[in-house]
Amino acid sequence: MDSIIYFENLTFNAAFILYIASSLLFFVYTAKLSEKTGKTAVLLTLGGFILHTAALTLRTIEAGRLPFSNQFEFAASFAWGIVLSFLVLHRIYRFTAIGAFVQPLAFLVMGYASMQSRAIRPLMPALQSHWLTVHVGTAVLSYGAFALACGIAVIYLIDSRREAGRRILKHPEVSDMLSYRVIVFGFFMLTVVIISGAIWAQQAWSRYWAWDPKETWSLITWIIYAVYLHLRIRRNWKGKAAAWFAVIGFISVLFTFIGVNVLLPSIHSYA
Amino acid sequence: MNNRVKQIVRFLISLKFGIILLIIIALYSVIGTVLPQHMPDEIYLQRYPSYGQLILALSLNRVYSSVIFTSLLVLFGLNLLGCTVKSLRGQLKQARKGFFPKTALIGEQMENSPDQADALAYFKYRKYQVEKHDRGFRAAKYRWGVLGPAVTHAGIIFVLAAGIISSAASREGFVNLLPGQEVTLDERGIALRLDDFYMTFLENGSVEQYFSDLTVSSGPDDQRSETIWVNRPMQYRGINFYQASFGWVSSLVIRDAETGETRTQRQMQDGQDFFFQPGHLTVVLYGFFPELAIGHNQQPVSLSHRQKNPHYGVVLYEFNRLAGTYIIGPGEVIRHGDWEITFSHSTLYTGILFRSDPSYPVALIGFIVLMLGMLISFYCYPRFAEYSDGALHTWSRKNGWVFHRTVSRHLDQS
Repeated sequence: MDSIIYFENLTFNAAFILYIASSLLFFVYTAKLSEKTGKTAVLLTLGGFILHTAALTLRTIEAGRLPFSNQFEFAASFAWGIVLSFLVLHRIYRFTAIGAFVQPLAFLVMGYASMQSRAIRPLMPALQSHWLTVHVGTAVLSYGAFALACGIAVIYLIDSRREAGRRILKHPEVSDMLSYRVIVFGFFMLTVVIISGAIWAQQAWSRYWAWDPKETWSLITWIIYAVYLHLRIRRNWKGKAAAWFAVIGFISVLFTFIGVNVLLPSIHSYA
Repeated sequence: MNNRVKQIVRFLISLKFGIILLIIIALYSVIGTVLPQHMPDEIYLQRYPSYGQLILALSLNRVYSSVIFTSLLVLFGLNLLGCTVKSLRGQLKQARKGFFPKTALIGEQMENSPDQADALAYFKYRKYQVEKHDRGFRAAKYRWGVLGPAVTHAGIIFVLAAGIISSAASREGFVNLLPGQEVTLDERGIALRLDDFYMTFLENGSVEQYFSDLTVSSGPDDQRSETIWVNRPMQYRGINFYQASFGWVSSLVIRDAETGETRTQRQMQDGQDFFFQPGHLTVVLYGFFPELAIGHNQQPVSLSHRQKNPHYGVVLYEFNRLAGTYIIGPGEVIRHGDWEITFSHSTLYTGILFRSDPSYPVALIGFIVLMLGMLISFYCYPRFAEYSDGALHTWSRKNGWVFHRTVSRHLDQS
């Protein structure tokens, strides 16, 4: 047991360090556009991700359940979701520079996780449900995707001020479209999060919707992205306005995750 | 309908109005999360002297049950319904076999024109509906995907309808029961009996789960017994019974110190007080501590809910003045003047929440339809391609760039 905890801490810290290193290298890459630096940054990210996965797996073994039940566990999984989203996108489109604006988010969330208590506690009765896996698992993917979309939107906002030759991504319309696609995935997952939470709440607390601050802020986040998607699809809203929406949406995600827990009383106080 | 009315109706079912409503709903909801809800009016007036009146006038003290919020949701539901019906006719036309948008040829053109036979083979392999013409061919897939938004909106309308049904027709109650106790719940004569309540513990002493053995009946021939626990309610005739809370009830006895005669005996929950008239004493049961320990702030705490070291925290007031604070064991006597006070026989009681909500099946249908609609909208969106005079154009309203890129990549590779 102690050795598992030791290796979990070791792999978690090593992943954290690799994420910091990769973030720095991604910044160097965006400044110099050296192919080698970019490749190294991606490799470091991948290495960090493997170690991060190992840390979460060890915790799963140790706790006998998925690591989804408190602030540390969700933050660690959220960071994992961000890096996973980036690596999947990189595998498909090979846009290395995006890492410079996504990896820092991952290591900041990891940093937040490392400030939380790492103690493994048994699941409280309300959390003993199969819906926990669906509800929190999809939240990890959804939040990860929104972080990625926010990073890409920031690239768009920077590129839109630069001349053609100095842009991070050659074609700003590509970052605009990518951000939209990633938001579509995150929005779909957020809908699953809210619906699975509602079904679970009906089982556990007698109501599928009770206007708890966490529920309400998830709905607010959902509304922000729903407005974004409608304006984009129906009114062809693109460019800066859409990018700002992606950033505001992610701020709302962060508030739902951290702000609600810290500032507002909620029956979700463990999450 | 005159033009003015038409204009108003058109605005009420417009996307613009829908977005305005969504933003107002979101802002109003934010207020409900930051401003304490459902407190007495005086508290708002005292705490927020400059805008307390405004809070009450706008019902910001009970945001989610206010007429304003309900009206916003109803308006949004109507807007969504109108918007959906308005677009449905056109969408049904586009979903038909044979529909091809006029805009397809202004879609993206592939840089390297592929061979017609290769392109045709690709689209056929990908199960596109292909129509040949003199100068090439047209290919389309997921035309019915255009109905995705309508299905999504229908799901949301179901969920909103569920909310209205819930606020109008749901009934909820709560009862604390000791093992063996029975209560009649409502006018239908449904009786609820708690046969037993118990907990299971983990190695570290924390509670693993709470269990209540319940018997519910509406007559001698119609009764059902089930064990419920958190996340596993019992359903009976449309009412759900939930394991909601628990606590300790302890037996207070006050005796005459001289004669030993029992002057009062009653059950008390943690935090309750009892005024004993003959002695002008108020006895407050601060708490029952099944496994007593003293916390770092010198306050009594319980390490677990197992009765390993049971003690009671008791506060006495005489003529409304503090007379003493005590930590005593079961049966241990507090002697105060002519009176002996004891606490003992602590038993667990359980809190059972019961609720009937006819809206839940409607909400479930809404959830399923909503998910289905989103899947169709985002992943089965219509895709069109036209090969004409040696050039291939692709077009998709929702995801043109990715669609074009996918087709280009495959055809370039082949």
